[in-house]
Amino acid sequence: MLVRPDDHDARVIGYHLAGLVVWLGAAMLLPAAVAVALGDVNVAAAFGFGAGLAILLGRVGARRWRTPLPLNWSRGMITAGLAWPLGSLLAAVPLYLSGHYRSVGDAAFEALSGLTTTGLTLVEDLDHLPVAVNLWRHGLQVIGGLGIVIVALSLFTSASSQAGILYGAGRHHDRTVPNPVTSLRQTLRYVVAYAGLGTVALAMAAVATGLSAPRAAYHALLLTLSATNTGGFAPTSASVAYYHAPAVEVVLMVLMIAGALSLAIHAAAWRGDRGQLLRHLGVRTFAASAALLGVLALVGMAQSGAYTDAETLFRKGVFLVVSAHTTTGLSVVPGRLLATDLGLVAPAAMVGAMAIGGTFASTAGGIKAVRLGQIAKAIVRDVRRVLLPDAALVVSSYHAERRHVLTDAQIRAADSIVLLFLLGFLATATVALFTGEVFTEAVFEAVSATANAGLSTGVLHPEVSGGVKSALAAAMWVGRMEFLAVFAVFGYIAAQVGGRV
Amino acid sequence: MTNPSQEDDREQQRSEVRRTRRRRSRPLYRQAAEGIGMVVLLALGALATGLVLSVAVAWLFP
Repeated sequence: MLVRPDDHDARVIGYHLAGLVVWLGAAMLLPAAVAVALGDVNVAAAFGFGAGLAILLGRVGARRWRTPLPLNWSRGMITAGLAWPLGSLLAAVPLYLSGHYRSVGDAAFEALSGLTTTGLTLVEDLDHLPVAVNLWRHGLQVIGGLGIVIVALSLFTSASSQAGILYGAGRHHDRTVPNPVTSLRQTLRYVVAYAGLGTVALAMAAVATGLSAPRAAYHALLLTLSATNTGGFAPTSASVAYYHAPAVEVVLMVLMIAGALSLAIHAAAWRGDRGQLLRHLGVRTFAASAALLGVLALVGMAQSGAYTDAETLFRKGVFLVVSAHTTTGLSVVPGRLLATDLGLVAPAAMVGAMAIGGTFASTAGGIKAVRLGQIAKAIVRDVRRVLLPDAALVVSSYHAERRHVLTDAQIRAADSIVLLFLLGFLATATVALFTGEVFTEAVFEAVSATANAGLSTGVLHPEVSGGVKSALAAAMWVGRMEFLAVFAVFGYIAAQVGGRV
Repeated sequence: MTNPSQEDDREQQRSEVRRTRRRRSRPLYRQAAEGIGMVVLLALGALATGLVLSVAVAWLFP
């Protein structure tokens, strides 16, 4: 039985959403300033309008719903669930006004893709996109990436104790920073450090390919923002293949791997705890699955005849596996080739890599490596229980910042998330199949969207049906929220409509 | 009397306190250099493994 929420819940949710909208509007002022500096009046006006609209709506909402009541975890979950679609609609305003999107829906899809750090795109004529608009697309990945880390640490982890199951799998190894403000400050520190160093390294590598210094710096900044936030947007339609440069590819792979590691792991590294990186269950599972799926992908590519020499296998094959496993979505081959030239084994391995994803409380999407690690340990524990005498006490433990005993609740939580992700993949692929897409491509695209990866076989393009776009957008949202926040939104709506007073 | 796991936990807490004190005494740039260096080494190790696998696969499936 659902109980109808009182007005206080709506006020608190509305008030905090309004605050986020104001911040989003303020963020639009940066690309507006860039457009002004570059003398691009139309683009500056588009961002000025978008910023003004967001700030106005946010201020009106904040005044209308002002309340001293706190944002507890359930209200927080609903706020988080609504923040991404609402933010996408407002972030889409300057994108649509840029004239590079067919419809408001396409622009909103792009904004949602950025905010969920997915990287699927519906932009037209990307190679001639104004600098400020491209900066905004990539900036959305930073905003969304910071947002999801904060949400994961402050809401998902406390939800595990409140709601009992779904997030139990991830909660233990993120006790580093329970306070959202501290989390934000600490995450910003890492983002700025990696963005600075990554931009310099990539700019040097890009200059070596023949790009002019200002253009190299611009590309380097955008690619760094994309890689460190596991986003997947690129400044050119050819993505990373545009550069034909091993140095660029190696730097990007390093940044993608760094982006897929959780805040807790970065914190441990910064305090000099080397053991944490090597013992952490999330890192170990990530490394093991990347190695296994990497071998499968490389063998598949070699057997299909697509890539047969070691250099190409490394530059194309390993890059694609890293991009898929970190759920970044940067690519070194045109999307269609993923479906037509690599056979079946390599794309299947990439689908597996995308589905597993990175570590919990990072910007990476997917099921998360630590959950699979817990399930694997649970299977081993159960096998040992079968083999040992009845009286034997079999305990399994894992390391995630410290040693934890694996509990049945954590295993149930991990199982639930895996099941929900599988259902998400299936539902999204089914919609694509109904619109006439090929099975393998539909599955690839569905997993890519739900796991917030962003690699595409070319199913998604501006002419594709609204059904496919809607299904992929829903998948990006649901996958980013790891289901529970979206369930909370629908539960809240159902309670408003049919709940008892 | 304490059991071995409690001893482990206490030792872990003590070492964590020591680490925290050490960390606070180091300037931020050193923390950043060490932290980023560690992550970059980890990533380069993963890429080296990828390179070895690429060579092996290219050799096995010419």
